Amino acid sequence: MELLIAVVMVSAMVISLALLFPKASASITTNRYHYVAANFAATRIQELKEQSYAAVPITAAGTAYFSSVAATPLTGCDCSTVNWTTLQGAVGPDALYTEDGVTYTRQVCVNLVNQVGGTLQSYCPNTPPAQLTRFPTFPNGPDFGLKNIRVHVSWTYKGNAYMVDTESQVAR
Amino acid sequence: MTRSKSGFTLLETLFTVVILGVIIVAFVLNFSQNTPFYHRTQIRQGIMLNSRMAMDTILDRLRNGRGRTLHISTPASVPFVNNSRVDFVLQTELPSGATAYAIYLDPTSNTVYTQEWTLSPPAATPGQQPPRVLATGVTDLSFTGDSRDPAFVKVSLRLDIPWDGSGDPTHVSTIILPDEVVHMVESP
Repeated sequence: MELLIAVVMVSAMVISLALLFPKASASITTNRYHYVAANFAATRIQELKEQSYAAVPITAAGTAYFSSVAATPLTGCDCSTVNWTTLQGAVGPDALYTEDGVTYTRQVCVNLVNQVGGTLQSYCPNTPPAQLTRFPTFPNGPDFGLKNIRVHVSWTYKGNAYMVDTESQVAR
Repeated sequence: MTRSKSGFTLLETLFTVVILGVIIVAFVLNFSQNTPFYHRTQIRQGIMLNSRMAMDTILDRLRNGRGRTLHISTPASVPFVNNSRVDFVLQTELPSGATAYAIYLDPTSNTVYTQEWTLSPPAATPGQQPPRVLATGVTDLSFTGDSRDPAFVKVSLRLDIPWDGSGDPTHVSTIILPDEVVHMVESP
């Protein structure tokens, strides 16, 4: 009788493990792809932060991918709300990385920001706002010495689209 | 004579051996699965670092080149990789004394070389210096000029590094850095 109970218990454990395995395996695979993508994004952030402030290129103020350029020129060009699909069509990807048959597409968006009341206020380059005319000139937009870097990595796996976004700032 | 009851029966010993065997096999399998993972991570870090270092060096050298002296060509080596060589005169002499520079891909060894033309002194032998390896595992390097402005150059780089010697095309890490734009010195 004891042996029978033991066999039933062991069988139940083995079956439940077998049922759980495909889900666990899929989860591990997805996590691995996220890890690779995050690594790919972090590498670019690090590379850009190692450059001088002036050498970090600002993304052009395109109305196709920045939704708020025309509406509010003062606070437009926010990389946190950029349309990545349109941006890729306009400026192309930053880099492509393929591993295990999965291609990761990396895009970079950089915009001018300023710390206003604990939050980051975004500005468009080459659009001197009328409200800030007390400053003599803005040859490269209202540059307060702070740039926001946003790196977007996207990939598809088994027909599903995934993405990882990483953000950091570089100061003058 | 009474029989001692201490010790293990044959069945208990067999069970112990089987359980230990299962644990050891699980450890070995886990280890053998993790070793390629770590190796692949190493390859990934290497390919990302090397591609960026190579691209940065190319852009840095081109930035110091005179736009009007730029000559983009396709080396005669097989397989042909279009527009994979540039020759140009440097605006500012390098610390090595180089006044002209070349960057090219050797597709037979998948290696990108740089080559300097140096005056004497400081070079012991003036003229063409031996080529230096800039990056390995490079399967594509292309330079594209701009007919409207010869100072603008686009550079694309591709590296393919296999994880193992299996020859399986899926066991390769590939990175492509497309169309990095550099502005050379505009000289009359």
